[in-house]
Amino acid sequence: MTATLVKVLAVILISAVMILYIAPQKAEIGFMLSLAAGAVVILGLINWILPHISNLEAAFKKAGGISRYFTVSLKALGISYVTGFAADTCRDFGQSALAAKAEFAGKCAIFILCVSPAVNVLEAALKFAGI
Amino acid sequence: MDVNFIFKIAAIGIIVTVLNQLLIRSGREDQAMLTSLAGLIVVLLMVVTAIADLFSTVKRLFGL
Repeated sequence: MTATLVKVLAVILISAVMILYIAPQKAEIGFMLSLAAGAVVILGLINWILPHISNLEAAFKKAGGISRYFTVSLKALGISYVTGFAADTCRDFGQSALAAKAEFAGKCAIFILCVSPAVNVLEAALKFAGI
Repeated sequence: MDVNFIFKIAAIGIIVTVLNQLLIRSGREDQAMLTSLAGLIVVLLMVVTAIADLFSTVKRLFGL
């Protein structure tokens, strides 16, 4: 586990040094390099945690009905990763207004995702209260 | 993790910078601009592929 972590950190540091060298001469290629480094690192991290998420999913599947809520939280996690990636990239490029919009889009997506579980909880509460 | 991809983009950046400097020194500003534009387009195409790969992986993994 530590070996992978050290590898990822090394890739990030090397990318940062390369960006530091290239950005003053060719700013646009420096930006592209930072984007590519981010994509490569997140892809590597996803491949790292993929088997563990599958394990967790299998464990929740055994639990029956509750696995639906695990799927929802997993989707929210995915949305926040993708949105965070886009927003951080925009912020790196100096476009903080667009970054805020990207974050808002992610919030909307997670809200839509959460409506049906919230309705379920509300219905259960109403049934429990006998209303 | 595809580290070679990052190195490839860094190498393109350095090569484009050097070509740009050479062409500007020899008084061909328009060709220098075209060279840097070509480098940017090549890098942009590579990065777009990588980001499409990333987004499709996230979509598949998290079931979006």
